[in-house]
Amino acid sequence: MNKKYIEIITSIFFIAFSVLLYGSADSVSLSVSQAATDSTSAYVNFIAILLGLSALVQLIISAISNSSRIEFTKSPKRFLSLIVSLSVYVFSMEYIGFIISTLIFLPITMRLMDYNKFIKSLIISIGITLFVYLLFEVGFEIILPEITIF
Amino acid sequence: MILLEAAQAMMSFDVLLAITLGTISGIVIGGMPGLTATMAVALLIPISFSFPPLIGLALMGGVYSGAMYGGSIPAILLSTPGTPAAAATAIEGYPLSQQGKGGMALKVSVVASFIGGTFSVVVLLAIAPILANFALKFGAPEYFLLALMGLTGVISVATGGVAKGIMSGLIGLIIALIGTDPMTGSLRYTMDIYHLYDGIDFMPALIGMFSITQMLALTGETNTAKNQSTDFDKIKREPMPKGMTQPIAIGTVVGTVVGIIPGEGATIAAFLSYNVARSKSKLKSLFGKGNPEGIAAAEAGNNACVGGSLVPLLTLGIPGNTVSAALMGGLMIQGLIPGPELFTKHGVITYGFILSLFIANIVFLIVGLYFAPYFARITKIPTSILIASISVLAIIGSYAINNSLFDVWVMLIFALGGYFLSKMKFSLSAIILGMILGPIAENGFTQAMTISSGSYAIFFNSVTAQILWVIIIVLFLQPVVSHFKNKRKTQKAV
Repeated sequence: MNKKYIEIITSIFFIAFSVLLYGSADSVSLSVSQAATDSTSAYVNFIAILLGLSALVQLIISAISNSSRIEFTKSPKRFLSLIVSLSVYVFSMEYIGFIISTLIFLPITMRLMDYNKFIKSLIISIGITLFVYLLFEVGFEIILPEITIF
Repeated sequence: MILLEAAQAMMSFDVLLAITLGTISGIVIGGMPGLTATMAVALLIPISFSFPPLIGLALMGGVYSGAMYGGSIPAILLSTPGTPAAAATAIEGYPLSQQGKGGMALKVSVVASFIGGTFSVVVLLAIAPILANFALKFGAPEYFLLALMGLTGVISVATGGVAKGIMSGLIGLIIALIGTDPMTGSLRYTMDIYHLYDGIDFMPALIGMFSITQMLALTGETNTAKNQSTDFDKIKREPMPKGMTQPIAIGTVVGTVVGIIPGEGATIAAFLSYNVARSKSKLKSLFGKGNPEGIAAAEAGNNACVGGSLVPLLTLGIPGNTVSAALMGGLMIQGLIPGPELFTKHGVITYGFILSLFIANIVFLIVGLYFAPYFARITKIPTSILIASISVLAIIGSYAINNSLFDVWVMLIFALGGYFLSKMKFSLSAIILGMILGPIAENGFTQAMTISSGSYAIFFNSVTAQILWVIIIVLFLQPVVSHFKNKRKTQKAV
């Protein structure tokens, strides 16, 4: 991707965001004390103005800089696989609990990250799940997510 | 008297065990390329808060010290720095290993780390109570300026430039605005999500930005270690070379001072110490080809940063770098608010924690002298296993803080956002420090403005405020000046 254009778009986004933040400053806090409301608004305005100015400077720097490429990841397949597996893991944990979701997540993620020794990955998964369960649930008495679908 | 009580508390079996386990874990994590000291401390916080405060803090202090040293082992034996702070060590360490002097390089590294680490803790012990006492006189405007100083320090060393550094710090301050207004009690920017009424907890954000972001980055790596051919069992044990006193002394002093300055981390301390030692050395020509003086300076420098970085954290409540920001989370989760009160109300715990750092240094000295080569084996752990297992620890760690899956989603959002922002050279350290310093800055600013009836002059009236302004300006101008210096150098070279 072109770094210059991404930086220009990001800078414009932050300038727009700072304008919105500045606009919201007066309504951000409601109080019977006018002094308290004013001081909070002044603080939000201070942040908004600084953000707007620094984003403007960055916009100018990006506009006059030479174009170059930005590489977000060397392996898009593995990168996206990890994001999806993490999201599914956290989502499923709410319904099938910590133990089952972790026992599914670990070997699948290892496989997605190109680890081909299935039996070894299964043994490691059981070991890690057991370790985390014993440490948090038994050791620290923190109740980890449990099955709720039944 | 309080020191004696603290020493007694620290000498209990539980605390000593926590220090030992923490230090060894730190060496293991620090020795694993891709895993940082910040990540190690952040992942330990959910574990440590189940323990009594001193045990929890001793565990985290041990991890911090251990990780700083641990990074040097694979740097020397495999030319793969375990932490960014060990990169300077690899320049001299790996050539020595190739010459069959890996054992000597490891010895220099551990001895220098021990001396640097120990000296910085002595400095911490000596000046922290004085500074804390001085901080008791600070008012609202001074606290606002302190927060500003902490942020400016991080911004000044941001790799993406000053503008992006400032924007990063401001993103953190804006995130800290979410929740309940501390002055008026009204809700702001919560979008009617009740989980946000108390604001966004910085611990899930920290874990996301420094653990999962790192795992996302590792998806692009097939193997973390560059060279796996070293025969660990055949590394010779050689005597400590002569002439190490000067580079160790340079690293120790430079590292401690750099650690105290907000924003300047262990990596800068190591490279600065390395450069100063090179300029003072009688064997300049050997640098880059395997000069143990370089290892001595760099390792003393990055370990001296540990004690130094705790000075502003413990006395003023201002974390100077991301590891101390993570430690601040550990303190707060134990109900200990960093600042002068740590030395008055919670003196035994605070001094006990500082004293535990001495023991941590002794532990890694022993471990380093006798077992260092074996720790290099951990770099053989496949990246795929590392990614999966660290992800589980990060997710459960975020969940355990408040028993909330909402926090886990927050952690994932910060991980993804942090990843893209870091690729665009925004500073994640500045974002997290902005989040931590946000409430301090806001309270200081709003209280000062209320006291002064809206007059900004209150921020310039006291002598302390004026000194803080000078420091802020110096910190801010530092990258601008070095930018122009570098530009002039490049023009001259052309």
